[in-house]
Amino acid sequence: MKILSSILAIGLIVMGVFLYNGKQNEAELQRDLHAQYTNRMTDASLKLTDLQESVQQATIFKDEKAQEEPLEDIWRLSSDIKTDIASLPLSREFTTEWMNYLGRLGDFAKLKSQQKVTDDKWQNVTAQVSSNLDEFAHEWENATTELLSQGEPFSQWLQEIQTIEASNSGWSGMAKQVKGYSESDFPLTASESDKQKIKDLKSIDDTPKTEQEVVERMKEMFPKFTNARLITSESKPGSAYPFYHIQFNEGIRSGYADFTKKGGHLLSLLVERPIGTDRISQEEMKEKAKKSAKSFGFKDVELIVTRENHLVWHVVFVRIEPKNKARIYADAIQMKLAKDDGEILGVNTMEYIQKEKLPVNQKIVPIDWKTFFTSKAKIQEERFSYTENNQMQQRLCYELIVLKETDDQSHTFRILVDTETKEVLQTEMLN
Amino acid sequence: MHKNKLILCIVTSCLLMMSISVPERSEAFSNQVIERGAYGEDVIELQSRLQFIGFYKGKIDGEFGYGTYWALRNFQEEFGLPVDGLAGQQTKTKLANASKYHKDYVQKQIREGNRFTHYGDVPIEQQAKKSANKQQANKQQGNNKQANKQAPTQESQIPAKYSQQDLQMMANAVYGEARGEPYEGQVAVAAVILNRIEDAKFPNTVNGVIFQPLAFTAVADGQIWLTPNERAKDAVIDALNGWDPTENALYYFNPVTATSKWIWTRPQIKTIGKHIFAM
Repeated sequence: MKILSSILAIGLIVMGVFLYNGKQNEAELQRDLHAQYTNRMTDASLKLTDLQESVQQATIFKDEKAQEEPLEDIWRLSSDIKTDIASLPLSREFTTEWMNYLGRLGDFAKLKSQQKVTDDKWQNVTAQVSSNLDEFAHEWENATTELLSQGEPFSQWLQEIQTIEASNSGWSGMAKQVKGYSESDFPLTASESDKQKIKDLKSIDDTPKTEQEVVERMKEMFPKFTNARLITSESKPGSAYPFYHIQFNEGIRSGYADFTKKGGHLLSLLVERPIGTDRISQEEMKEKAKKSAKSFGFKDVELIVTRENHLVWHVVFVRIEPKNKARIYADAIQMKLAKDDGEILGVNTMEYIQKEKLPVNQKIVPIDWKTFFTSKAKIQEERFSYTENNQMQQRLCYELIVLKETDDQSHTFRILVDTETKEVLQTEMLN
Repeated sequence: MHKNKLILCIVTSCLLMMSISVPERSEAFSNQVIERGAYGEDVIELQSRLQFIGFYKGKIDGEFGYGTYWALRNFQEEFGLPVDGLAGQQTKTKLANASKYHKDYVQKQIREGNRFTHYGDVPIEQQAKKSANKQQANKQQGNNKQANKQAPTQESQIPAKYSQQDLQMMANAVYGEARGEPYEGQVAVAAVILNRIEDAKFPNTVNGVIFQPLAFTAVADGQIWLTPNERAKDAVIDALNGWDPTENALYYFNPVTATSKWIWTRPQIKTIGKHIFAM
């Protein structure tokens, strides 16, 4: 009897362990699937936004060479989105309708790139496609963002995306929308070029500074931290460039600052503190930012962007080339200011410390913008600026702010065209 | 006595004249001058009023971008104002006189995340369309009443190359990976994600990097699905704006819990909180 009880007990324990392991494996599998589906879903959202942008871009250029890239993007992105959608557990009807639509759009862009579609037809069709895509992308992003942010159990999540047609579902309406799109119109794609590069700070050859000198420099730049409690350390040997890392605490403020060892240049600083309810005006904030930039010794820069959020302002300065007043976007400084009193809560000069090498004697060839752009695109601003081409070389460009208006929409683009080769180096749709 | 009466009359007349000559302040807007880059209640009203009289065709979202800028310039030109794209007192007063603002309607649509317009020539009740994420908007509002008081829209202003979904996904990752870390450590985790996007060895999108197999512990153990707090979101916004406290790191690990021998072979850059950041 005892032996039988023992065997039974062991059997139960083994079964318990087996069941527990099974549950664990199931949970792991669910997490993996959840991650995979989320990845696909967000990927499709981003590509959809890119596609919209490419459709818009493809309607502003008359120049065939300039139009090549956006058309190629439309064809490629529509195909990518189809792949993403096909791999998601969405309702079959919705998937089929949407994939057909994307397929037609891709084919149409391909035909346009082969000059088999007239400009007039392209303009008419893309106007409708563009508005359909705007609507659809908005709904898609809302629905997917909602799913991602809810943190609900996977089974519920799965049920939600599978019941796409349910009347109370966040996805309701989207399937109908796709069906409602006419057979003759199509969507868009985007360029994924990332022109941001991190400067090689290895090559700074200024005289090395001591820890004490750098601390003094910090207190000089930010007098608020004169009496702060500091913890200073040096970068570890694996760092590409040596620097000092200073952590500080002063009453309600805490944060860090990094300075290069060579030359003692500020790399970045961030301060965290509670933000009060007072608000300074945008103009006042800009003045404070400019004044601070000057006091830090950044005298060759221009403030080009201000971005307000609920507690702080972020601003961007870029270096100006004195000869032709062109903006050098790769030599940028970012600052963060508190909305209550304009206190500097952050400075980032990583890109600014080393000057970009600019081309010498680059030709400036005049371009007839009337033949370059379609009649719907109107140039609103024109200036010179430097940006990087595919070979990572800085090039002087015509920087154009172009507005395209239709009866129910307006889109603004920032376009950079090489002044010598006339190559379009960058097209960005602005908010 | 007569002399005093005379002085009193002169002073009263002067005050009366002054009150007439001072431009009438719009009762609607705040008294701040707003321009491109601004965000919030004032911009929502500006966009709504410009749309009411047909100048603004975009989304009413409280972000003073180029769409609002061109609309404002067109309005200024048509109404004989200096064309500078700045919404100052004179422009605001003129606009307030020329348009209507259905504040409750607009605020309600934004709160509920609906798609809507505010044109003056269409009955207002026909201009709103219930959106999918009503629940989310309500939930977020409940979660963060303070933030919503100051920022009626759900979105944050971030550099154009990133989307709201990037922000959301990164905030989830930062919260799941580093919620107990100092602020600098949270910005650092977000910066590592962005550094990976720029590195040829890693995927080139935010979600591609985050969901790369075995890349982040929070994805493996499901903590990425926790709802991130405002601090994690602010840390991501700083990283998206360019801050990188890691000085270009591609990896990080907790030396106390790390089980991989390989991670110790990576060239180390610095320590922030409990994490070592490495190339």
